[in-house]
Amino acid sequence: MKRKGYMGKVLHVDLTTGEIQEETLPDSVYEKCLGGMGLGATMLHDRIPAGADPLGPDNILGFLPGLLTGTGSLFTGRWMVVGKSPLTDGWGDANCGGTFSPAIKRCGYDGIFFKGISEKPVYLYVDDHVKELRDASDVWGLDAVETEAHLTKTTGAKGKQPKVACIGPAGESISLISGISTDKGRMAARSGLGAVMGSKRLKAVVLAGSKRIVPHDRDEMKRLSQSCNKWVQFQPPFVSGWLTPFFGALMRILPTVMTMDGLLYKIMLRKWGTVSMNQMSPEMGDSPLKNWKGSIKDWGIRKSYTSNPDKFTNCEKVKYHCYSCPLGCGGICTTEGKYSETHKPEYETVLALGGLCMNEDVDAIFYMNELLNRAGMDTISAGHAIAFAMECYEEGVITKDDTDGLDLTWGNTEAIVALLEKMVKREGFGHVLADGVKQAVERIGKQAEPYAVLAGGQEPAMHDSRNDPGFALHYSVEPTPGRHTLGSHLYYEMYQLWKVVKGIPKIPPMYWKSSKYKAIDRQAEIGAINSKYMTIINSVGACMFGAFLGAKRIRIFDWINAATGWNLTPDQYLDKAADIHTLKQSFNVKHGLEPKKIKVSERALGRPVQTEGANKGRSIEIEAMMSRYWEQFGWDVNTGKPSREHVEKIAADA
Amino acid sequence: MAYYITENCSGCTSCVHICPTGAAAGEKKEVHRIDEENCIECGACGRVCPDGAVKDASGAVALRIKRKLWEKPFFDEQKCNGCAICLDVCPTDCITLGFPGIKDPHAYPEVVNPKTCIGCGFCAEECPVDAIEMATQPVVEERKEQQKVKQAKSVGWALKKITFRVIQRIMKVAAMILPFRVPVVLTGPGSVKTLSENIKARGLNNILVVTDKVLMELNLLDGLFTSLEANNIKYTVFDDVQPNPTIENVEAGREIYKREKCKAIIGFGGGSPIDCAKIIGARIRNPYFSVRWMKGLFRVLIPIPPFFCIPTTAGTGSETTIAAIISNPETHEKFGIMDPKLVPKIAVLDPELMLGLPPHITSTTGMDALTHAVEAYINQSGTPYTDENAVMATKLIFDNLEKVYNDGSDLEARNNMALASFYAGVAFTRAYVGYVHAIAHNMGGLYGVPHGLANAIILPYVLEYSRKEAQQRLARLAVAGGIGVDGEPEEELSYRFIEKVKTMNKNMKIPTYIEELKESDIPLIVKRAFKEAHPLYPVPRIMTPQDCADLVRKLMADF
Repeated sequence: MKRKGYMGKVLHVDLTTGEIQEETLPDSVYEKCLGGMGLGATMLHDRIPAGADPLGPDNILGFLPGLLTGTGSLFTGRWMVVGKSPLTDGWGDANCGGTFSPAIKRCGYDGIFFKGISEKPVYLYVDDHVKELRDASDVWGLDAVETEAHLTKTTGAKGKQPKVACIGPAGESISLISGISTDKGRMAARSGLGAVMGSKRLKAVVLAGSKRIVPHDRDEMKRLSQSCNKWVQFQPPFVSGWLTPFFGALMRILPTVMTMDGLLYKIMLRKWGTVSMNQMSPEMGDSPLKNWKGSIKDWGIRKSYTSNPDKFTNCEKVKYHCYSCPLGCGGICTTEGKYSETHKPEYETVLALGGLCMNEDVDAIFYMNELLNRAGMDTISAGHAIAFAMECYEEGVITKDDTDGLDLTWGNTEAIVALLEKMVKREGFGHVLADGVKQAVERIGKQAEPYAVLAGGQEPAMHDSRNDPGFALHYSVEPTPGRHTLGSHLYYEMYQLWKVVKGIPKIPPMYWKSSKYKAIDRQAEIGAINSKYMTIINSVGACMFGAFLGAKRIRIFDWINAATGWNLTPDQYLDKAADIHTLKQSFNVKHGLEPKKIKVSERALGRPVQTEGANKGRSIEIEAMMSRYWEQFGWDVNTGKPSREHVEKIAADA
Repeated sequence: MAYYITENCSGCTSCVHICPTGAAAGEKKEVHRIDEENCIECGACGRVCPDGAVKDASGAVALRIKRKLWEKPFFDEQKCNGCAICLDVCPTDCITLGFPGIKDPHAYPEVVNPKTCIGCGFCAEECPVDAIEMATQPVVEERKEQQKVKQAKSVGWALKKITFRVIQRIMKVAAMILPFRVPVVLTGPGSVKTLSENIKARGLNNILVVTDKVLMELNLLDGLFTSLEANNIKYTVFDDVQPNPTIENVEAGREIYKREKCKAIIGFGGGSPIDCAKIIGARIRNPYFSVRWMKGLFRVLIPIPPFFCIPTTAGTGSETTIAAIISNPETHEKFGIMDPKLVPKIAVLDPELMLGLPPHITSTTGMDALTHAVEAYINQSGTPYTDENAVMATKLIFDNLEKVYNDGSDLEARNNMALASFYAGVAFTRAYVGYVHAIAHNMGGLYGVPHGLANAIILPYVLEYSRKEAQQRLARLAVAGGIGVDGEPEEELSYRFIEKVKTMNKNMKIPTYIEELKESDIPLIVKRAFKEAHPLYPVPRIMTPQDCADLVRKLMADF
């Protein structure tokens, strides 16, 4: 039993031959890449051959817990799934909470990697004694919730209930916007890695181990956790959902920005979860509306009122905590109709299936949320695909003849629900949209291209890049483009990294809103720090919402030292993160991606500028920012490619 | 490092049975082995080994301990943050998340099955906030009790209770000041026919009769129609009211009222048509305010048109209350509109209209009325006037309900039950109801359990919960109801009263549980019940969420 927080081994499963092998990793690997996403990047960079088909046998799909998972730290129960993305043809990863992360470690592994393609549907079962591929014919075709219930009931060792990660029908039918589900509908949804799992005919991973995870210094881990917990439990009463849109409107109207303290956002998360932003975000200009062409003029308080956060907590049966989370931003909600309960929809889902399509019906959003969770489909991408189709319909690119008679006018809830059901089943026009916007453009034709909002093939998230240049940067430069979970100016404010890392930019308590759009170099610099910090967060299995508390309140670097026995400074960890980030970028280059070409669509950059609303007149100088960002990592400033020597040096160090 | 087994092993297999990971193995009567790879050092093998053959990693013999002395986890709710690390680390899955407790709406861990706990203490060891303490079972039980008391006495909870009581006092004073109208009562067999004369005397000649299709098919309205026609009063029938009336029903009724240019409304039937008629009236006079807007207290701004009420069941008390319940089919929400302006001008209590009621409706509606009377009486907002009405209602129900259940044609008993329902209505519309109603409304909303039935089932449980605080009042009701005499110990009388309610339920074949109730719904029921009851219901004892969850769990079929 290692007393360093990690298990020291990974498991390799060859689905073509059925061979299952353990690989012991030296401590130096962990010291270089930490774990989680870092370990995934290190393992996959060299092992997936250049130009491998993402849906072919050469692609490797990895399930990785974080370095800190199970060590007694808080907010560190997240796991990553990594592989080559069929959506972007480059590095793919998706992050998820729930209870699956410690389950991987309790089987004794810091990662489980699958390659090859099975002849028939299978699932992997691992406990303390058994590691085997089992026939999944009887669960193939079941939705994610049914699959999990069936496998939990029919497998498992003495005492311990197994944890399941599985795909739904969307993954089985290789939808490029499908994800992997755990805990009855918590999704690792982005990058289309559900399709990779489906292409391998791997229905599920079922884990029932009970190994112990032992940190180097448990007392120190506890001390740090208790100090963090104190901040999380602070919750003032009398916080009302009615205030949120007005708070958002105030942020829109004021010419200055008050630097955001993550503790404020924590209060909202604890009270409502991410739905706290449902009305506030559109008001402040943070939500893309009407397929990114709308503004607050189209989605005022009256329209967004139906998704007021209080309405979500009213039907919330109980709060949902991921493993080791003291906050509990999730919830289990009761619903009427076909499904009796669902995970509380997240802000991204509410906006993607709401404001982006101009749909005001929250009951329908609850239904669609559960429908997509069960099908195993990404709600952000699905909402984008529908909004894209609606604009095509409005512009006459497609007609009722193409949409199977559906009247795809903005806000037509009935048509949105019907179309989503078709997408899940790949029926008729649903098939056109079932693989996301990029494929839909190819199927509809070039004339639809102006209405597609994409970042390197991935549909960007529900945070308007015109409102925060940081989002525009991260949507465009990350090896996994289009993500809202990797950084922004707002996130940098909340991370408060300058309190633990010397020599990095400090944000003043108040600044002019317009200054964000002018300081290109500064944006690139804080963007690079964000990327590095999030690489650490994703490598140790931490939660971004925890990180929002601020680096002084959530002591990630100290936790790593206490768990592993290392004694490194935050700067040294950020250097390691830069290397991991470079490996991911190098992965993309190796597979033929041009970093310059994956930037987010013009519309999302304010080209042309909006003439009304919160983001009126704003456009982002993204090319200059990208170039400066690459410079921060020592990559080529013109192409964004890391040099071969740079990558070889990183590989040699590992 | 792992535990290991020495040659002293007699091969009794105890370790094999207890080992949660299957690391201990061996043939019977042969020396066993522990697989180092799978041993998690929980020590359970040592605690059960009769031979002293198990040694820990340091070489010390693991001592056998009697199972009842094994330590179990005790969870300090004040420290626990619900992170669920203990659930994951538990090798036997004996810990689960309980129901949202005092820190509602988060769920906190509890030991679901102490028998499967092997006392390994991993949960306590790994708990990041040191909220778990290992202790023997009696100590754990003692700590739990202490924690309950501590919670109930916590400053936050005390402040909340004080706030509730202050608001309730304000509402009590308001109820005394507000002009609560008591409808004129026409009672006795055939009294429905005298209503027409009253209407004529008021100069009204175009009436909207709100009822439902079942009553129309039973021809129960024939007497009313004949007398209206005899007095040359024009009328229009609206009989599309559903069992749980919806906003659509209200709007449809309003359209007919407008189209036919009616001048007054008669609500005829059970609670549904009467409530629907009240809200139709409210919408007619307040056309710019939606039904949803009128939700809550005092939201009907302009008085409704002349309204007359003819109940055909004895229970709801709707013929005298300020409340009307309506459903929103879009959100599946059931909500109340409460305003003194909704009280009818005349209530007709004609026992002949109730003769056809089947026994199970008679019993459950009757128990509904008893619940109104009892809750109003034991609540803290009662006045001499409401007390008087509640006592009269209780006495009449005790004397007549079982009689009328066994013989539905007993006209006098029917008449008394109609009066009891009316008195109970007068009492609770001023003194409020309590937790029985708050929980019962959820049973209706979630499972469609009839309101009266749910009230009848829940009433004894809530009375048991509040017995100590309501002891004096329950004793007085017991005396008034004729099941005790003055001078007997109050405690005994209060128990007897609760026993009487249970006996009545049993005699009228009302079950002691709610068949449809699911454990997984309990948190939601607690949440909604609290939303309804707090802060307005002046109950004798305010429940904590845990108390409420425990009470609702008792209503389950397999409890």
